[in-house]
Amino acid sequence: MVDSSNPGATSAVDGTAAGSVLSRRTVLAAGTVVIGGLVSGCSADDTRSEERTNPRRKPALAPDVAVATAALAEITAVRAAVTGTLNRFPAARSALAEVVAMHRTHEATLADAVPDRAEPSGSAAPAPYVVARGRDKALRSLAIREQQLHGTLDGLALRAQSGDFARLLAAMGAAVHQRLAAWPT
Amino acid sequence: MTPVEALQKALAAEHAAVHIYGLLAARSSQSEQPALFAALDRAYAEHRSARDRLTVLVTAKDTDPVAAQPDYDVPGPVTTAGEIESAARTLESRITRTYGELVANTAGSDRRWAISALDASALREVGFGVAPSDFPGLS
Repeated sequence: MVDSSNPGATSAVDGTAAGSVLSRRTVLAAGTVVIGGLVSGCSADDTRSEERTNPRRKPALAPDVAVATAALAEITAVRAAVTGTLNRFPAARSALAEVVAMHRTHEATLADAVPDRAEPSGSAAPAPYVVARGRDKALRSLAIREQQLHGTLDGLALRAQSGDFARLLAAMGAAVHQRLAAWPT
Repeated sequence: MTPVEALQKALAAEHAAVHIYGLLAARSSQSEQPALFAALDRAYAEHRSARDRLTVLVTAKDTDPVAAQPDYDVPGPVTTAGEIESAARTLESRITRTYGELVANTAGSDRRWAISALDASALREVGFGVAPSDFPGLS
């Protein structure tokens, strides 16, 4: 009999003990390590050098910092959409409160990687989210917006140069996917 | 971990999943627990597909794909429907973490596939009753 919890040569699945789940703090700490690496990828010296050669041009973000900036902007926009929907339909709070909390956690994890006033490259400011009039339609529209976020995060995970950062973004995308599976109707 | 090592680890995990889901489905009753049986049957088919895909990916890197073992330990007792579902949850959570590692250790089309596999296993987790997580595959 082979122990399926042992990832070694005779094993098959990840060896972490069944039911062993890292705490949320540990997850966030892991994210911070990843994010810390991203921030350090865009050095102050690089920025100053760029400013000297062309003081009016915004310094280019390091690739993964740009990815983090795009992810943060998209998550923040979707969280605003959820919040707007909740403000219009407060009775949906019980169903959507966890979604808001998830987005806030993701934002907090990414925030340290994004320099102040950084904006996603090549994109205009997103149009304000308009909440549909009826509750059911509003929830369906929101689900579509969450689905777009899921696709965006998966795409950004593909773009990320750091493997650990890619894993973090893919995990965020999968978290959105899980929420969509239990979306209120 | 190299990309090939990560792919081999995921393949080994899928060999186990195929084996264990086959066993879990055999322990469930299609007539008495139709929803559970259908979920197990669907998971079995999806893991077979993932195993076959991983075999192709490993072979494409001029490497012999890791073989299945003759038997695997089932994570916990599987006498009742609740125990069967619990075993499926444990199995899927491990698979999701394995795909998180695969995402971290691959790039390009391999990573694209790993991301979709991570999504799929995170969804199966919820289907078997795991509470949604903020970071599936990371914790």
